[in-house]
Amino acid sequence: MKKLLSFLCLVVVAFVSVFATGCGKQFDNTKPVDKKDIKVGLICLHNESSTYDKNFIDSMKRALANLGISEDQLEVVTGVPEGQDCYDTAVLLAKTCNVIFADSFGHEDYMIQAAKKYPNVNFSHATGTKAHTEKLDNYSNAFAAIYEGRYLAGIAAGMKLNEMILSGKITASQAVIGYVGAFPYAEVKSGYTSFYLGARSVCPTATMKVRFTSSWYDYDKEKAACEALIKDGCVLISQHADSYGAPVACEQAGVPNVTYNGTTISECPNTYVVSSKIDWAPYYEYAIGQTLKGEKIATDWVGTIETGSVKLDALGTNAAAGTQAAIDAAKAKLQNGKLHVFDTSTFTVKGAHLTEYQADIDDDGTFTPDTNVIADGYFHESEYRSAPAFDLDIDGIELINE
Amino acid sequence: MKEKTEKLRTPLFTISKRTDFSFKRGLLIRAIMISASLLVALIISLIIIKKPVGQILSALFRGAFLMPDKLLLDTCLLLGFGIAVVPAFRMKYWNMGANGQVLVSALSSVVLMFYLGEWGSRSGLNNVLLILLMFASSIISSVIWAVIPAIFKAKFGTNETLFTLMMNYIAIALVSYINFVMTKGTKESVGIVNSLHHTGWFPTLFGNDYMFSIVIIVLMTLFVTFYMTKTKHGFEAIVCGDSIKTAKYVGMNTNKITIRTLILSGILTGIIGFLYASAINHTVTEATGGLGFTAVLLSWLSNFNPLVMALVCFFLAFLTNGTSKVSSQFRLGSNDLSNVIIGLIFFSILVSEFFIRYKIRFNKRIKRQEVSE
Repeated sequence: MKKLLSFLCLVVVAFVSVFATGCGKQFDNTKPVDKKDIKVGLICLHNESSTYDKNFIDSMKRALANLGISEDQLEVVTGVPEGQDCYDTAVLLAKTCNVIFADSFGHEDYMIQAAKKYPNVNFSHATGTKAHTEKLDNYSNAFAAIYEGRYLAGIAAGMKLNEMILSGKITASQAVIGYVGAFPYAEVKSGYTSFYLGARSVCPTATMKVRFTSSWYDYDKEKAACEALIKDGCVLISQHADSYGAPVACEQAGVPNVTYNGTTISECPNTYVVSSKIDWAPYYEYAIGQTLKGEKIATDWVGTIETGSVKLDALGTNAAAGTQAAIDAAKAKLQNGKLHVFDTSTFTVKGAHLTEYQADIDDDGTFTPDTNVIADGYFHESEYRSAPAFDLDIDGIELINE
Repeated sequence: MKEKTEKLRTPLFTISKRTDFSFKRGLLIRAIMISASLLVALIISLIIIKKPVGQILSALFRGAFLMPDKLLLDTCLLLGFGIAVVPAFRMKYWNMGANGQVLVSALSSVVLMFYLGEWGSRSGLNNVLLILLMFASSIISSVIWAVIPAIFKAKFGTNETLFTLMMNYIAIALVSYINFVMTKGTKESVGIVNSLHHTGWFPTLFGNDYMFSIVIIVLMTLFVTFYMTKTKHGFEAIVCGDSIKTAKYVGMNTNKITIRTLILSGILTGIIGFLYASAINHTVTEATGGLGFTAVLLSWLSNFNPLVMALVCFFLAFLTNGTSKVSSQFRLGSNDLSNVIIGLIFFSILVSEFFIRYKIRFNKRIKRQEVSE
């Protein structure tokens, strides 16, 4: 007992003395830094075996190569859960890095905490929602207008459905799309709705069924949900979840698949149609560039088709004829502002066209809607904040297990 | 002739408990085994990272000591979990439910913090009341979670290992459901609760977020050591563990002792859960309290000796933080190397414990004739 007590006292004294001395050098994010001296930190939820995190890590490496910064100046922390570990990781990185990025939605609160503690280090959080209400100089959010990419991928899906109808494989009323989603949150809803609107813009009889897996990464659940949709009469599948579950189920059943976050052409050569994805490299180049110059990173940064953030991979051999031309035409219209993905004249909610809608833009902990986002005939996605806010259930989409 | 050559069936080897090892020799064997596994770990790291050994070691130590408070907190949390299962384990009641107990207690605190946050922020007194309320509800919910399997064991003789394991799964599902309710179905987790006005947050000590938790867990450790070695209740629990029949013979009410000991275990995990909610995480996710199983292993390996336990916990926390830094600094793309190293070390500890505690005797094949002589 006495031994234990004295040992514990010793440990406590040792640590308190370490606190007193302190450590780590101080940066100043308002002053320029040299390319040779900058250190970049990246916090990832999973590791490279997840397509989601791999996309971030690869984008970061490309961005550094473009900027002429050595990879040795990058630290990548993987497997950081959305909890206190993220705060600890961010603080640890803040002792050596000038700018720190995190890739998962749930990291946000902890990044903000760390940003408040280290005001001289830049913190940037992808997919987050709170930067515009926190108003910190060293904390920012970023996302991409991926709904535009989804819309274009939806056109490829619609073209495929038309091909099937023309060849007599299905009737026009059988043009049912299946969608495997992770959670019924805005990010997923915005994704499948834009995809569906894209498909319907070329195949007016298309309808959609959505199944949720309640997980961002679960191969078995995603595969099972996909199989259930196919059994339910879906003739084309897309998904918003991070495993190969749905594409593989499609390949086995011979059902066309529009994928996300990267091509599956090598794994599923017979059923792959097209893939939309976010390329984070342009954002990383921008944010690291601002840090190099000692300037503030934009509070809400939205990547677009022009910035090279929203991308479509090459079409699969399975895609219908004329798909590329249709996509290019729509892309041009999106870019010159003649076309809006969430044009309220193209969809109805409970039979009615919307003229206004209150979305929960300000994430103040109450989880209640606060801002009207419909004006000039369309839903202003990713304008009031970078992260998606479209959470409407439009007609034509059936949610199966909610 | 045939009978002569027929072999008698004997087991290939027998395992028996050994008592012939001196303390020093045991220590030496442990030290050799751990150093050997560390060496193997270093060689593996060198092969994978392909950088000078000095760089790797410096990353390891930097990772561990760059945030000394984190290192100390990790040590203390492991120790806290380990200490919380000690009373039940000494009774040979295999409580695997420390995870679940901590989860429900953190959950109850977070729910109060979330729904009464606005009320608590109105005045200092309200805030203090809220913290007390959270503390009480943490303890109560954790005790309930710990005592349910104990009552079933005492009354119906159910298996506590399976029962407590299943209670963990219920707790996990409950946490994700309540998170769903609090966020009105818009998110997986409620996030940091009251991050603006810090209502329901435990005060910091010496300006450090983690210090209070560390001090409380150290006090908890001292208390449990005292309880197990100096009090009648602790002694009764140990007697029940050594021989339930002896305990009954001398007139102990074993059911009562089981339930009483589990109430204590519930209180201890309740304190940890409260610390998670109010002082450390300020939120609750399914990952909260994930240290339970590691802690069971640690406390078992340390023979329930708190001093040894503290040392082992520190060593493990050092390795976890250090190797994680190695993985990130050299961009290995995953934490797998860290897990390999920790697994190696655990394995070597388990093996050396086995050979220190038990003796293996290989049996000679004996011919029947020799036996009859």
